[in-house]
Amino acid sequence: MKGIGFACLLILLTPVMLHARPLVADLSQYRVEIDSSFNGTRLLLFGARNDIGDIVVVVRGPERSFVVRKKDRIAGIWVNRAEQSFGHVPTYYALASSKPFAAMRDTALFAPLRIGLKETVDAGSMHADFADALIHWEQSQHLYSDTVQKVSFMGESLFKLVIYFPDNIPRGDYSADIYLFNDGQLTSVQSIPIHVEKTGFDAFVYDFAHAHSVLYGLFAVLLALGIGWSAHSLMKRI
Amino acid sequence: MEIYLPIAEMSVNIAGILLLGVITGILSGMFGVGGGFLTTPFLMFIGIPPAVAVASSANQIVASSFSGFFAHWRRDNVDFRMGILLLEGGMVGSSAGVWLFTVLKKLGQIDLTISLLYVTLLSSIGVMMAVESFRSLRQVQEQLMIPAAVTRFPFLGRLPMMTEFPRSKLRISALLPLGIGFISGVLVSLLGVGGGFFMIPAMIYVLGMPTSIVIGTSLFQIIFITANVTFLQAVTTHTVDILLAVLLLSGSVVGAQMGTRLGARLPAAKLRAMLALLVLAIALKLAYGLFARPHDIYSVTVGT
Repeated sequence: MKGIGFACLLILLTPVMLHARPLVADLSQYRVEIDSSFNGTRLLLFGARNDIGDIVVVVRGPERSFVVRKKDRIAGIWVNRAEQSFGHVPTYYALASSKPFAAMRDTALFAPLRIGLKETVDAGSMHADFADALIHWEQSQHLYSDTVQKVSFMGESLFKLVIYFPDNIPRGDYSADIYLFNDGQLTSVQSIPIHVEKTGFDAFVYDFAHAHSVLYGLFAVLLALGIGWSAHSLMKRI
Repeated sequence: MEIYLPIAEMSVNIAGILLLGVITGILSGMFGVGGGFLTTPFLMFIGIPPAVAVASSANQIVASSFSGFFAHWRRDNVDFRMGILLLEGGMVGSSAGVWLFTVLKKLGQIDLTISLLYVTLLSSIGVMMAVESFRSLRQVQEQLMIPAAVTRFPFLGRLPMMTEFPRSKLRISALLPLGIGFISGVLVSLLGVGGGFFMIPAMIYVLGMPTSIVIGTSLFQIIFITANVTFLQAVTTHTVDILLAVLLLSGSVVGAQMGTRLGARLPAAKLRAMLALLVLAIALKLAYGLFARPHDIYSVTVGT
């Protein structure tokens, strides 16, 4: 709520600047920190439009490549046969709009802007069922949204949206893109970066495991030997 | 209570992981198997990435086998000469296995290979052990057990490098333990297990070693092989989750001591019969997985 109050203040104080920008938006935080008690988090996106039109918000995670394989039955056993690779697919994807999505479907800009799950994953692939399988898998991990969320308006210009990040989000650079569509045209766009990183003990372990892998490996083995030995000598006394 | 794992990058239930550790520890102490064939599939089942599950359970087996080894060493149940030969074969085998793993993974057939290997190995070993142990249970005479392959197939006795193994009261070719060690090493890298469930029956039924010595000797070998795998995985794939391993092994070291005491009280044939049943149950479950229609015929692998 604090953020929204701030947004109100911003609008009251700077009417001149708003005329120059049809869309202004901001986030409650730009960094998400993952520590050992991390159990998912919510970010508040808020903003104002100074022009008529529909708001669409897309939050994308860092891109990875994926391989999808399809099993077939050979001599009674299910074996991986056909496969399809997908390059540069976002690991996280959340979608929201101010108007029911079906009502805005007339805009032809969705595909080039990669707005929508099919528009994001399908890109150029010949087998639609493999793309569907990948989307389905991401949804089962709660990394892709199942539905188009609603961007809610307070009055004519102020809007807000709660973005949910589950506990298994990959770390890296995310972006929240806010689009303003009017009459099939993109009238304004704003992109806000979000950085997801690990902090505390976990970050230390993760970074150490990558930067000093030889030491980390030795430590892992010695720790196991130490615990094994101390457990033995402890149990011997009991 | 939930805890976030730094390498697996997800949160897990602490009590569940600890309990899994205790169960594998008991198995390890009783039978000398690392319990990896139980841990690894279970970790994957709760959503831990397979590579992390394999590497971290190898790390855990280092501790449980080390702890179990001491308990057997105190009772003088380790044949070091045999153990070192098994170890030499195991080191070569695990390196070959790591290479094979990468090739199969690229082809997308690693999961199927793992399942097929498990089913074939576990069912043949399980049946062999069950038949033998139930027979000797009924006759209550260890003498009537199936003679070891070494005595049944004369050519095995004519191999070069004949070596004396005073602790096991055997005189066999050094190539035999080297070969068994090699195969178990391949299995360690491919299946993410300690290899005990293959090595123990092989030592009993191929080499003819006394059951009492077999477990301590295999634990001796497993310590080094799993330590090697842990180190290699930490350096090459960065998939060893220390927190996950510590949670697992806190449970398993306690379980291992319980298992060793439990095992000392049970007669050897009964022990083998129980292990046989366990092995068969897992083989059956995996075989079902091969033939049953999968939940999802599509599978997804994350690249870079």
